[in-house]
Amino acid sequence: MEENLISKKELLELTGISYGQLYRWKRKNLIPEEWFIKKSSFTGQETYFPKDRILDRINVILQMKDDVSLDDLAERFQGTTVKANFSIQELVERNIVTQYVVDMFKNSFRLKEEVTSDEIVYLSLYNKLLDQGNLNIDEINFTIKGLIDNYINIKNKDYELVFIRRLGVGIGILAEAGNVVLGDGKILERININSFTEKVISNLI
Amino acid sequence: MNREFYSDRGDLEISGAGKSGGGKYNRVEVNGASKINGDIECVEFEASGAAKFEGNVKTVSYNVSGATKCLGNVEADFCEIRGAGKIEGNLHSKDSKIEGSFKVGGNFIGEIIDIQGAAKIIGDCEAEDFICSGAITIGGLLNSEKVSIDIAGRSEIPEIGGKIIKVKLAPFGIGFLSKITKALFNTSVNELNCNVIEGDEIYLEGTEARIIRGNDVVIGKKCTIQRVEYKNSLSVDPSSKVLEQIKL
Repeated sequence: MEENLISKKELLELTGISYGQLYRWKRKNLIPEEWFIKKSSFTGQETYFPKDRILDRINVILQMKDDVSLDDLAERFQGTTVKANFSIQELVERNIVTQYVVDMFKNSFRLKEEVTSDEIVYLSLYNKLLDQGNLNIDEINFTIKGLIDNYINIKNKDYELVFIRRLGVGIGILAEAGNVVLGDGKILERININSFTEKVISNLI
Repeated sequence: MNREFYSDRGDLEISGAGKSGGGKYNRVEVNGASKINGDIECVEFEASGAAKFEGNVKTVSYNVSGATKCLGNVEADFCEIRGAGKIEGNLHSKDSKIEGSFKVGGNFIGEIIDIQGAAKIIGDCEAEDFICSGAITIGGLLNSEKVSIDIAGRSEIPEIGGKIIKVKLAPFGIGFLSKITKALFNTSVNELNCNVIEGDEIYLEGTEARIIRGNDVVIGKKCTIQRVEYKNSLSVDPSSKVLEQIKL
């Protein structure tokens, strides 16, 4: 499935940002080089972006840019947060996850009182899958396990988590975004890991 | 200049037709037809003549003149390159001052870039303040907050993006630069060739481009533009041609 694309022109119009800002954020690595997609159009070569991801990203940048320097912000988007660890208590107090979800998570996975930003991503994804109710608890557990086991390899790359159920069998797939070609089988979840991680991290800030 | 030197490092000095391996030093000075065949990490790097560095150079200051050649990447806080300097890899330098004929085989990334003469960058170029007086060829994108180019000779940059972009024809009086570029490139065409220029404020002279996009655009003299898309204002000098003017 080809991702929805938005042209540079439409993007600027929609978000109200200027060329100067867009190019500056590109220099600061706040918008990854890979998101600048060149395609031929009737006016020649034009630049497009993955629509949902770029809009999310620009939203976050606009929200944060007055409080945080662009260089700090760039660090956060690469998954390395300025504050390395958080306590579970803090997460529960701030309503980022509920104690119930934390306890369920602990049934299947190890978790210390202090968690890293990666672990917060796992917890948040666990939370989300439980909330959405499309997967049963076993499916959620092995999906999260697959994510944790492979996270080092896919972190900061553009990967999607897709969950399909076919003939009663559930399968979790981690693949580069746009590379998953599906035949029959019902797609129960499709989550872009980078987008999800950004939302989680920006909530933490 | 106050540089912090390391107490556990020495200096490296080669001249004539000397050779050395790489290593970590405080001061490195290479002159003549000397060669360094290894990576260098140092505080002050100085070279002249036909010096050749076969590895990467990581330094605080990179000060070279003559026909120096680095086969790897150069990483510096500050660099001053005079003469016919070549870097086959990437050049990462916060502050750069280039004079003469200069070539980078990879990308040139910095904060302040000041080029006088003829420069050729095969890859992309990024800066906050990009100043160039002479002739310049860039293979990819010039992405800089401020761009200020005084053209003296044929220049080519496929894509320029930034906030404030100014391209002017070097005043006729600067015959010196025109003479260099004429001698080097056998051309007396003063012109910048671009595919796309996108910015907030754009001022152009002597530019041939396919598409210009900006908020406030001024097309000065001797330009040939296929299409201008502007948000706020556009003015076009009578000596220039703009085929399509589109207000967004």
